[in-house]
Amino acid sequence: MSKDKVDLQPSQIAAAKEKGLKNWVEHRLPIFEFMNKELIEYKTPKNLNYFWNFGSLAGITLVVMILTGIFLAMQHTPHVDHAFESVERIMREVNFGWLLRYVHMNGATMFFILFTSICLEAFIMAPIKRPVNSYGLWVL
Amino acid sequence: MSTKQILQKNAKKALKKPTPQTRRDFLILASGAAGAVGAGSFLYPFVSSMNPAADVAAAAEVDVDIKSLQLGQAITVMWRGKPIFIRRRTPEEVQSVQEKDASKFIDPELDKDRIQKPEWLVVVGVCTHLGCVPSGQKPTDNRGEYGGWFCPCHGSAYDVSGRVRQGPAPKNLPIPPYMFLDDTTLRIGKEAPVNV
Repeated sequence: MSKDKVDLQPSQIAAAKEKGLKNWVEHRLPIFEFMNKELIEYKTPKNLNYFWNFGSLAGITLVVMILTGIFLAMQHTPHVDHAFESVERIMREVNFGWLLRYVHMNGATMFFILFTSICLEAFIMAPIKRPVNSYGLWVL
Repeated sequence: MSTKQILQKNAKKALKKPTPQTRRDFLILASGAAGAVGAGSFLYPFVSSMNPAADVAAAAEVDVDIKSLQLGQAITVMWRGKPIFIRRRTPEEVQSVQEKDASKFIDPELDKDRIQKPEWLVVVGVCTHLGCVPSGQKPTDNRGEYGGWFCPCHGSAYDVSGRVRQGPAPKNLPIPPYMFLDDTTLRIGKEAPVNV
């Protein structure tokens, strides 16, 4: 392989030899291998409990907050004289503007709850993991 | 036949058999369909929020009182940010654009296809060349060779039917959707319902 060529992942090389839309995408952007690796093959400790949900929940909430935030910013006027009017317009005139705003508001609360839960998990789990580390209790 | 041969035969048979539809196939399809519906209903409000908002849509129609317009006069009204020329044409002006054959024109179109009532011409007053507003709304304006409108930017001339007759403009002045609510009121932005 010459130097100016990009190194391909093994899954990309395999996909290049096969036909079909999935392989066409995989050859150019190995997202299916990525999803398989991260969601299926990736090893997890066998003492998982429900506290481990909060990471992906926080990730989903972050995506929702970014999306609603961008779409709210499209309609908002960041000026001291016009900001209140533009928010009223979002609530009354923009299609689903009320929904985007309420999702953004409640998403912020949700994010706070999830982050608190993750911290709580660290505080509770740290003293019962080996090697025993009770710094979390010190913080509490 | 040795045990090995039998095993190889069975393996070949198993390969030839088409794989049956399993419960797993069904579950993958069903959860995929549910996920697609969920993603669609999640994205719909986002896309919809970029469409014209209720206050914008409410301003999409303009009602114009044309009672005071005398023969030969014209007014300009704003509709969706564009100037609309409304002109009450004199019988002589109407007569001047009643030719039978328009095929020699830059954008061939007959006058009768561009109007609802012969006296009233309603066109979008934006030159189709580069978007200037042509002059000719006042009788004292330069109306060009054909008596309609003249674009001062690059010299396009329009006749009293709003058709381009000379100059760089490629298209006739477009006709906005409009309807007569009664004899003296014009609504721009909405077509009259078709009577069947």
